[in-house]
Amino acid sequence: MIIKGKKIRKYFPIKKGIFLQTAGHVKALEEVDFFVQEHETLGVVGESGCGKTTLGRVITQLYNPTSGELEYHSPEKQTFTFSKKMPKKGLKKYRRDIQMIFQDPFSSLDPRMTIGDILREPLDVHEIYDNPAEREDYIEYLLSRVGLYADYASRYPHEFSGGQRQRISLARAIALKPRLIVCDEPTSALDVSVQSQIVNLLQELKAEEQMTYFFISHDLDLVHHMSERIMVMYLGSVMEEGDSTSVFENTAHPYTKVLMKSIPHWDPKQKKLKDVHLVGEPPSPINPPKGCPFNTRCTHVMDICKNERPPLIEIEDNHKAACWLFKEGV
Amino acid sequence: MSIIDVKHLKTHFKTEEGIVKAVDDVSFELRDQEILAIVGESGCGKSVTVQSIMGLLKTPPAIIRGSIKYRNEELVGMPLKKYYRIRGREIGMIFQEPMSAFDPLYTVGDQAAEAVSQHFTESKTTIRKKIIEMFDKVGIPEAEKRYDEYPHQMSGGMLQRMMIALTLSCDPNVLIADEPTTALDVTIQAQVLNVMRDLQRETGTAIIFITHDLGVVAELADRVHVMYAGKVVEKADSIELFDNPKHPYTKGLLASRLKRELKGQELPYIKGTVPRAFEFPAGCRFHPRCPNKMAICESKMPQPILLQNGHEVSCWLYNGADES
Repeated sequence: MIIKGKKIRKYFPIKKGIFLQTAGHVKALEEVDFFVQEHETLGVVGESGCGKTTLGRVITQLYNPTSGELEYHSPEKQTFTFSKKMPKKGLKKYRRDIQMIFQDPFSSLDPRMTIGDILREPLDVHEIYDNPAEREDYIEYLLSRVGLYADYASRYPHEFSGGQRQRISLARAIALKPRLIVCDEPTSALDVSVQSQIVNLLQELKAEEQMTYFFISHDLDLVHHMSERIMVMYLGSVMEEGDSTSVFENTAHPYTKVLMKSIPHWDPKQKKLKDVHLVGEPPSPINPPKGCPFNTRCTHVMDICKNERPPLIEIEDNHKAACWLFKEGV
Repeated sequence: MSIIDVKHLKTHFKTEEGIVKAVDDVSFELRDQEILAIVGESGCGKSVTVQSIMGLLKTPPAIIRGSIKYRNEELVGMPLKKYYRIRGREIGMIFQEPMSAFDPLYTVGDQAAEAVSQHFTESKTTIRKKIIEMFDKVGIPEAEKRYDEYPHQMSGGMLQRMMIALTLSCDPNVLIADEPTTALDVTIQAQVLNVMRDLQRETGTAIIFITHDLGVVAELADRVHVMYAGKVVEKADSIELFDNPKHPYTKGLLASRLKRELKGQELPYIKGTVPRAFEFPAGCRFHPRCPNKMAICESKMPQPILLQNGHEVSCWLYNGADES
């Protein structure tokens, strides 16, 4: 176990008026439970506004949760439990252990820093090397590790294409030998022909460096490809979670089913989008519906769905869904 | 019957870094009542091609050569006044970003009415009725109420459907859609694509659909043109293209699809990256990335070759030989 979250909530206040009074909250995460185990990839999938990025940022402590509890198991078998902020004592180590790759490779690299500076910074902050020559060797190694040439270290980000920049982000993320990398849609800004290169590189690093990923994406097929376990989110809540094969072969939640049907099939002979009968749009996270978050669009909606939030119900081993359809006696 | 006929279109831009040959000798036709998909990655010239058709490029810096015929009328060099009559009325266009395609200061209804009143001399109330009817058709709930609301009150999917309604209320013969669903979530994309297909069936409007997503192509298109680095490299019927791709680039794109059976395994990929527009390589522009590269590919540009089933490909592999 690396990290575990219990009933994580994240509300962003909406400020209004000249005195900036709080006029409401964007409820980005609503009582989310999750855990990430060593050497696995947890895929988190959902549409925009479902809270997947917020959750990734809570894990990296870019955001502090509004309530709930995080539990971090350090490699030295220490356990840190904290509700909002990581205690200062462990924070620096925590930052070193948990790294992040961002979605947009054009805004996540400082345009005024050379690639060498970008890779040097984390090493200096954490005082890894006393000897500058060793440090430079390591930077060369990092660049070759992600498939770039060593002399790129003196160049600036604007000289690189999107795919190459994403490789640089990855080199920066692995520089401190982290235990967990939060990947926030690392391929979605890239061209189709370049996406597979990055996916392959991520898989290679995982196998060779025993990496663990918290892999965020809107692309179900990609998440399936990458992950041992999958979490499907909608409007700040977990709808379904489990082994990725179980979730795909034995899909339980009506929302996951719709999501699967909505992926265009690459076969002009069987156009399958015709079968998608989903009406309406996701409700606003400022004013989410009472009960199940999906009840406004669900075709199986029952009375209880409109009043009570369904808990995660076990469907089979390592496979749960938050839907009243699976509760016996309802 | 072709409704738009593009012949040897070259759209170049003069920039400080040199001449950018965004579209370089592209020929194709759009037939009556069909959905033609133009697919390619960023920088392949697909958007510039349709912007040239719509006359949306400022000349200079753009230099447009060749011919674009809409029903025997030449669009290249057409005076602006005449263009106004065709743009919107005969050829409509939908853009990628619904949020920035609408003016935030006017209600969506007013903006739709303005577009319609450019081309029709009907009374305000008739136009209003017509637009509300169209909103209804594309699945906008409470269309009457929505007519008087502002763009920020809508979601992206709803605005994109309104954009489709707005464009189709002028009853154009051709609809150009430039990545209309790229900014939308998959479930919303499914809704928008379904609306587009149903309306196309009903009205018979011919559509040029631009996308980078081969899944969307498979769902919607009758015929497909694949573009790479300013050139059309392959043309075929949709089913033929997916069953029997010819160009190494198309093959690479199709192979990079994620297959459930191959979970976790190494994905096939196209090496290298898309070249930048002012440094296209000599010869075949795909040759630095091509797994089947031959000596001739480095020096001479391949010309389109017609194979069986109306399949056309620009690749030296097929020169002279019919089948591979």
